[in-house]
Amino acid sequence: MSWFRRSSRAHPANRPAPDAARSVANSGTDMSKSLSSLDEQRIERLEPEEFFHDPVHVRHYKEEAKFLSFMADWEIVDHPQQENYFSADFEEELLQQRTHTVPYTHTHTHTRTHTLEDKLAACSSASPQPMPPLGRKRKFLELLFVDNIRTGIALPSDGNQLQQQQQQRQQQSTVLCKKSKYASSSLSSIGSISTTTATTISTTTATCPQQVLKDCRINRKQLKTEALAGSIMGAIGKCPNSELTAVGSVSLDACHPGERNTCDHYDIKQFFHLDDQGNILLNMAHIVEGRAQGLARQSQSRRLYRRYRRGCECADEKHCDKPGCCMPLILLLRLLCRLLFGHPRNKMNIQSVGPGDSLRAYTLQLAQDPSSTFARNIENFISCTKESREAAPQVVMRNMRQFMSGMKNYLVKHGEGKFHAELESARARLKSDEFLNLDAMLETVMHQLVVLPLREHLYGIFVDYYKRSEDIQLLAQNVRYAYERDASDFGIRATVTPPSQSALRLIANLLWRLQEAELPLDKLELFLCVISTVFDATGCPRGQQLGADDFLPVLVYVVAKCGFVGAEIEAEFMWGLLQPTLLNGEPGYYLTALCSAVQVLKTFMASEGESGSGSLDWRSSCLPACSSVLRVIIPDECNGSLQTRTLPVRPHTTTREVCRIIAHKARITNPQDYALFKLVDGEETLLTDAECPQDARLAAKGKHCMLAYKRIDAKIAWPTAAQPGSH
Amino acid sequence: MSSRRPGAGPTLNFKAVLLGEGCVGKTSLVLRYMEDRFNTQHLSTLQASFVTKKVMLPDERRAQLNIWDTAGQERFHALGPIYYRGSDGALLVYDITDQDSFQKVKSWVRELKQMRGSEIALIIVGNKTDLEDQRAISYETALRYAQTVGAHYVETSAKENDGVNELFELLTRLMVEHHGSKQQNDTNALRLQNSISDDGVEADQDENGHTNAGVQRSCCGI
Repeated sequence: MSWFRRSSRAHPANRPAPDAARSVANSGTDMSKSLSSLDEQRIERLEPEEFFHDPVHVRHYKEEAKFLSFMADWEIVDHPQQENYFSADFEEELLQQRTHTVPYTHTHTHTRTHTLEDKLAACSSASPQPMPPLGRKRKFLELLFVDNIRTGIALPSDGNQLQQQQQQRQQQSTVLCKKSKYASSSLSSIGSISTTTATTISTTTATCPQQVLKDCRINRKQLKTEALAGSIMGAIGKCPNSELTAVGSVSLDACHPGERNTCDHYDIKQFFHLDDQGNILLNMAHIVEGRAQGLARQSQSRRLYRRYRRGCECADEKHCDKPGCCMPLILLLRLLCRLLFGHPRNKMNIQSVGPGDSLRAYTLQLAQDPSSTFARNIENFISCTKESREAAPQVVMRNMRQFMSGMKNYLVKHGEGKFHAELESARARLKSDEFLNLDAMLETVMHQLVVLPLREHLYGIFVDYYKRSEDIQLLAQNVRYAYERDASDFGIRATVTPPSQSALRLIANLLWRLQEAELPLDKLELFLCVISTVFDATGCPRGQQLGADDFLPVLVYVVAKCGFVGAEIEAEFMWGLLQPTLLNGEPGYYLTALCSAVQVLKTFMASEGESGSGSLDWRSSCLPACSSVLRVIIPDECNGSLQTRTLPVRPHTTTREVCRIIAHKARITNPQDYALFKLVDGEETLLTDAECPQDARLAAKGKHCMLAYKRIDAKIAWPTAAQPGSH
Repeated sequence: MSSRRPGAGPTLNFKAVLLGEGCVGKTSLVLRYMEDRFNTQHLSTLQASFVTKKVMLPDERRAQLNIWDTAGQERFHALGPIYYRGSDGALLVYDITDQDSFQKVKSWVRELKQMRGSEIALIIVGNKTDLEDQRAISYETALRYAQTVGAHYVETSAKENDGVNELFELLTRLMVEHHGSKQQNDTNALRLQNSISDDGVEADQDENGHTNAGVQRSCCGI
């Protein structure tokens, strides 16, 4: 791919500062901006590396470019006749310029990623490789990138030029549509295109020359890795991936957790210019909005919380009273709640019920209208996702998430049908201290439109995927085993009371409802309810003292006792589909905790066999000097942690034998590089082959002596002796 | 992008993780901090595992701190990355009477440096200064270590509420600075001028200046 930038001759004086540009456009006075950058004479090529110098900038630029190429194939609609047009970044203006009528670009972002490799391999007949006429097209696409980087600077338009451009695009788009794999839907659009001035941003697969295709192929893999790493377990490389689960990949994957995680977030935010909370700012005139939002959120979450509590308590009572008929009662209760408070789905996140509802209803109606771009896009996305052979749920969810964010943004920025009119009327009905949380409203709508139809498909992928990686089996096995254990085996301290049987029943019931719930936000609601029930059930007087040290073992206990084998899937489901901004807060934390608990459970049997039960502190390796077991510390150089292994030994077992056993148990392939050391006060002494480790410990006489098995060359600063009072 | 919000924009959102061996007082630190300026606005403010707190920055901006507590037991060690990814700051807590907990901090620092590089603000916290007579790690040792790894060092006593607020103020300030310099970089990237590098260097120097000042101040404060 080559890169462009506008030459310095391109009217520098006319570039307004981004803020100015926004305010101008906000006031709705200047809609006639265009891109003189389309004048290709003025473009010079520059490699991004050369241009930015700083590798971080280059990376950002490339990420954005990649994402844009992704999102570029969005359908564009007629520009709503709307006075008070919010958000004024350049790309919107750019689109306005070109979208006087119904333009069409067929977009199969996700499909492209999925099928690209196949296409490359087979040069599928359905998508012949594009030829010359597209050269110009491609440049246009790249121009778009350049402009994005320019933070929304748009130049006064030159009508003729613009029209020329549009004609070109029109021709190109006709060509493009023919090339689309999804010919049927594309063809339908050709008709409209030929009669109007149309805009096509791009259909990258079809339009990009070979080299770009190659780039994309790399991207696909990278995207997949990113999607995997973006999942909760991805951070520790424990995300089951059939291709990556090789032993070494754990550390490999874990290399850039932070980066990966933010990537998704970054892209969407950047492209759509969302604010810090991931919301689309509605109207710049309402400057108080930013603040109001925080308060509204609080009150909303308070309200929600009260509702959880109510629900929980009620359920609890019923449950205890008549365990036999609790289900119908709960159902009845829910029905009642629904009657009284409205269905949570409808109520959730809508600040002002009246105006929000009508807009919501209209959006749903729009999605039912097969002639709307909105509905067509959704339909296409769903069918493509269902057809795709993508086996990794993380990738599918990432696509869904991006698609939903994209469609939300599309509606807000470009609107369709009477969307903007409805929005205006909704706004007119707002009280002075109210505001419309459009973002949250659209989020629930998108969940209903996108997640609901794909839910079963996604679950199918999930189950296949985790079955293949044997994670489900492993978890199930361990849960069965752990179910029989006592609270102390989970590492729950004596000061913490584990949830009682009745509390566990209540939690199990909530978990069951969680699994039955269809939408991510409903699930989240129930999940947070579970968490607060767990907190309440731990018997800490005010619930105050439960830090993560205590909470996590309790959560492990709860998952095991409730037999919540679907925990990981449910957690990843929510994690993958909820708005990334939610994941920085409470929901993110507890989802992370749930996945941690799952991870701990998966190794429950293994760890119990090795390090003994309950006591998880490695310092407890002070066993009586003479015993039939030998506890050995093995430093894990990969993550800087210490593991303990307990070996059965006879009184005269030699160091050599011990080494052999550990090497075998720890699957060390180069045992000749490892040796057993005696540690006294942090000082290590190599034990010779014939020595008896048991004797060495005895010889230390009262001093804190430990045995460590480590690479001979490894330089390790050992913890010195534990002081009795320090714990 | 950053250029979209001038000056006093929306609330900044920060994530900070608490790392450290079990029983070093991570939870007490958070509880103490929350208790002082207590406000109930979140469903689990009552819990110490995850807390969130709104603070007002000196420049009138508002920031929200999300503090993620982690379990310190060894068996949970490997789970660290899923907690600290995407975080802006980390508090590495140890018990000044416990040599092992200090070693553990070192291993966290190594890991964080490896995983997150300089993207994350690190503060090493020596807790339990009320047990001065049992001290096992001298102030100087810890401070020297902190300086060698580019972290800040603060001593606190959650029990006697000593240095706790200062600690979190420092954390907020560091994260804001980090955020600022990141934003600066982004903005520079967008300017598409050749002056990028100059600005960037300036910003870095500025930050370093602050950094040193930070160490000084926190030392004196205790």
